[in-house]
Amino acid sequence: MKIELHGVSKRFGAQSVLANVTATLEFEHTLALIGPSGGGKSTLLRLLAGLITPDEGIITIDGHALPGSAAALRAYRAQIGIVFQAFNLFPHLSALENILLPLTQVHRLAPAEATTRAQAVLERFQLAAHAGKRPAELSGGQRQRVAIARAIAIQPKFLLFDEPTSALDPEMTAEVLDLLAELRSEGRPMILVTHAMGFARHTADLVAFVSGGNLQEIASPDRFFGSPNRPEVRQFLERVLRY
Amino acid sequence: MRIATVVVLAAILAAACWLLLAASTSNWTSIWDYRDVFWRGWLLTIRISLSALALSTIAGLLLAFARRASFLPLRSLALIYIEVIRGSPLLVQILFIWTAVGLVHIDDRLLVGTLILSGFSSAYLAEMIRSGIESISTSQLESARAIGLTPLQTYRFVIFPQAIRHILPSLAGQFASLIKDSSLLSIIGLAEFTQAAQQVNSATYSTLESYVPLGIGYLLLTLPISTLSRLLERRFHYEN
Repeated sequence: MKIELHGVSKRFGAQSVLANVTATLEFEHTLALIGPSGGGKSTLLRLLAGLITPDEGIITIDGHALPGSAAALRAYRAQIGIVFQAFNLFPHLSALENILLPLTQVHRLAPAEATTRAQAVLERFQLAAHAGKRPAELSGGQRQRVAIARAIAIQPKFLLFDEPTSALDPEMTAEVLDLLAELRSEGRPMILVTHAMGFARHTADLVAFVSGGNLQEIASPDRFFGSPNRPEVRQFLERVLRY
Repeated sequence: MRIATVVVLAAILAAACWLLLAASTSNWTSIWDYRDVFWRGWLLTIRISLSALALSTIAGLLLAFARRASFLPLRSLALIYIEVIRGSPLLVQILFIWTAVGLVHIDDRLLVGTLILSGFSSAYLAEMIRSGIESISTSQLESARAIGLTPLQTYRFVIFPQAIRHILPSLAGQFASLIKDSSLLSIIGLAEFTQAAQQVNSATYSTLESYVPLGIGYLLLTLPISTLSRLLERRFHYEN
């Protein structure tokens, strides 16, 4: 997968979150976006997700520029799986209904086919017993696994994760990270914003450090965690890996 | 506990009825002779209420969308309408509009009465619907966008099913109010339930007797609404 950013800027009001970013991110399976809070990594992910559009610049994915019109962006978003930090399931729908909604309404699958596919994904993630439960009846880890199941069920071109474990306790975090590691073997490209450094190191094949509205360093996990070039990265890693 | 409550309430009600009967001149047989008038009035009240309920729900939805429109003049117009309607008594609105349409020779009491009631109720419904829509968190809306739902689908599958749960109690209250408020249409001579009771009252020289079936008749319409609302609330119940 190849992502190219050409002079990409994004502002929210007076605050510049990404400033004239030009970079090429080429990786096979997993790209990890790492950096301090407020550094712009979530904004970059939301740009890649087509949830927001850049104020300036062009983003291309595998040579195709991201569209600008609302309808084309919607069609683009429907092709990718997006999982947020938390609260992204619909509370009034059961786990199964949450997965069915995009299948039947966006991808126009026949109800029987959609149900078969949704149940197969739930089965695979060991969630079959919870199919009829609403999000409030599930644990945090189960909820996040259902959210991932919903993203997978549409058979997306690639997957985006925005801090998928930051609202979870350590045990649930492990539960979700195990699932992500399993997905990696499937070969579908993944881009994730994460604070789980160990996971990024072992699973990603490219790490990008986003800070101060720019991509400060792009490197393989070994290089990035072993001998980073930039002092900001060294300081950041010292801080987050101290305890 | 519940049985005790029912017993106490029944006792109070029985005592009140006994006092009422003893105090009145017991003109009950002549009231019975006029049962047809009551019946027709009651049916007309149901008809007005149902039409106004449907019309005001549609108008309330449209007004709620207008209040959220990005086009400023539309937003302002909706706001002015809602504030004027909610800021003035229904009785004044009935008298004003009935007189105004009289000037252009419109004298269909049923039509005008139903429209006035719908217009009145829609202003309240609009604000309830708007607050329901705005109670949905932005993360829900973002999730809906992320899976590729269109704005219309987002309303249908994400916003409304959740909003209805928030606003159901106030919606039920508003629908019950609408039925009760329809009694004010008697002022323009519409032969609905209250007008029917007044007719019977003046024809039979009875006093309280004709108002007892009146009260019971309205309760028969409003109590099922609150019961239904409680049932639905339980059905829609889920935690966030």
